Amino acid sequence: MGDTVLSLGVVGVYLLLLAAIGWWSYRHSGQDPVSYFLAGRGLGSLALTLTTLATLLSAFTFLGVPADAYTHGLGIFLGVGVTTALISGLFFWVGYRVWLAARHFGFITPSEFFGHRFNSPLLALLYCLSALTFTAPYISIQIIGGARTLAAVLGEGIPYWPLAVVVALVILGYVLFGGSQAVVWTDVVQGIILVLGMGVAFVAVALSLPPETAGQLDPWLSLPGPQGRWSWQTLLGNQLLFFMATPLFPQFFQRFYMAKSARPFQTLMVVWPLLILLVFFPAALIGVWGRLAFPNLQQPDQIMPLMLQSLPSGVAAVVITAALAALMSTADSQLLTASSLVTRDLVVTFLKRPLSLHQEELLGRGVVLGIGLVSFAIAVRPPGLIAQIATWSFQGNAMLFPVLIAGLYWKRATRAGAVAGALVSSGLTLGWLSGLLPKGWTGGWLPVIPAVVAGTAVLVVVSLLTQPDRERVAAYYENGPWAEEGIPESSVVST
Amino acid sequence: MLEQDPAAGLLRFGRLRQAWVWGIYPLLWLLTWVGVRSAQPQLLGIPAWYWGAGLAMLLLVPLNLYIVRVCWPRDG
Repeated sequence: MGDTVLSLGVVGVYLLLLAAIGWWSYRHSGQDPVSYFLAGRGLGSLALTLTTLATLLSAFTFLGVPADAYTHGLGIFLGVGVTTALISGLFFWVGYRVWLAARHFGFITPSEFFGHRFNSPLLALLYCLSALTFTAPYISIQIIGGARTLAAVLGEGIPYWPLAVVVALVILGYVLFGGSQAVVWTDVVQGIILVLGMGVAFVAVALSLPPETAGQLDPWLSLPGPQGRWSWQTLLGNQLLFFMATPLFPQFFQRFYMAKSARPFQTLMVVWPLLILLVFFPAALIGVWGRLAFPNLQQPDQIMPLMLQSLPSGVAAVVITAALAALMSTADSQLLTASSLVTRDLVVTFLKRPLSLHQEELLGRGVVLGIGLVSFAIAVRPPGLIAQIATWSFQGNAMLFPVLIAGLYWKRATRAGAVAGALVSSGLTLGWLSGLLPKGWTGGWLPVIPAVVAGTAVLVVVSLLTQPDRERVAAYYENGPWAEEGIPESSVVST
Repeated sequence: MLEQDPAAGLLRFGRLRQAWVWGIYPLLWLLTWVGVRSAQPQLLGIPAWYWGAGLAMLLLVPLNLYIVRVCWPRDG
């Protein structure tokens, strides 16, 4: 009983801190779209680094990775952890370049970049719809993870769904009132907590292991794992999936718009691999070590919360708070970005309904509520394990990767090529994920891999058969944000 | 009032300096695959390949620092 009170006390202090940040942000942030969705494009190194980290790391990291390692061994560390560290290079190649364009043209949503670069509202709509479709299930796994983590605090006997309601309400509360200011500053707190919490969990679990474990875990400590899951093809497929999906997560892409200068990208790029190592290295090991204490678990997603129950209550409370920090910091960013996609892309741009700033703000909050409810509905009856739902969702985000790279680096890419490539890549991915197309056609790869290959081929061929929009290319490459020489006249903006 | 956009003119991606350094990324990635098919040898109960993969991730820090210092567009 005393342990539960202590744990609840620590978690309660954490939730009160979030509420306080939300309230402070509500009182101090501007109400225009740039303030509400992009924190005024004013993030420095510390804020950008921690909000990007906290936004990416989620229930998948804290609960899904240990669960996958519990079942299939340490391959998940290579499949996800190593790839996530390598993504640091993309902060230079993608993030910085996107930031330059967003600052120059005033983009607020990720779709606006795609639509503007190729002068194609259809492409913007395609990105918007795919992001919305695949974000809701991803939000749902944060609610699922939160409810299961709280269950570990409170013990058996409390039904799952009221805990899911609590998690959903807390996240919705500070997103609705505080907007991106609240999300960013709670992310800063949550980022620190989740790195420290994982470290504490690692040390505490390692110290509690029995001294003699020789040989018992060997099948889980090498590839392809006890069930043969981590073949070279599966491993490479997962690495490609995460490499392509991460920069296209709408909540991640929108972080690229928030930096106040180039310096935060440089800091982010340097410290990112270390932060990722500190989180993923312990996460997979804890899952494998869990086999010693709970060898026949029916629901692997519970392994992390169960491992916490064996720790001293104060330590467990800190780690539980870290898990909640990880999943809440992702869900809040996803909700806010999804809200911006609906209000700005669907209503203002595509449906051509001009809104006042106040109307846009109100609609944004309504959308946050709506998407939160949809995600909650999915979470009430989870359709699979956290890692399974995440892999499904990530594929939906990765399918426009060729369009992103062509948009950033290939002057010869045309609107027709980008749209055709996007449609092929999306159509094949959705066809395979939904079961409409035969799985055998994927050659054993995750569906999005061959879909992206086909989409890239179509993008290149159609682009070479059509002509690019000269004015748009010039607006980006010759006298715009990506101009290679000097400071062009068109970069002079009025304030 | 008019002012210069600080973002403008920063990029010189087209004339990438020190291009060889980008080859270290795939090299480090390949190193993470070394020894993965064996749980032995182990250090502190953790297989050597796992330590090696962690070290490869850690080496990204000085690599990225070098890129930020040397390869980043001068005005950025």
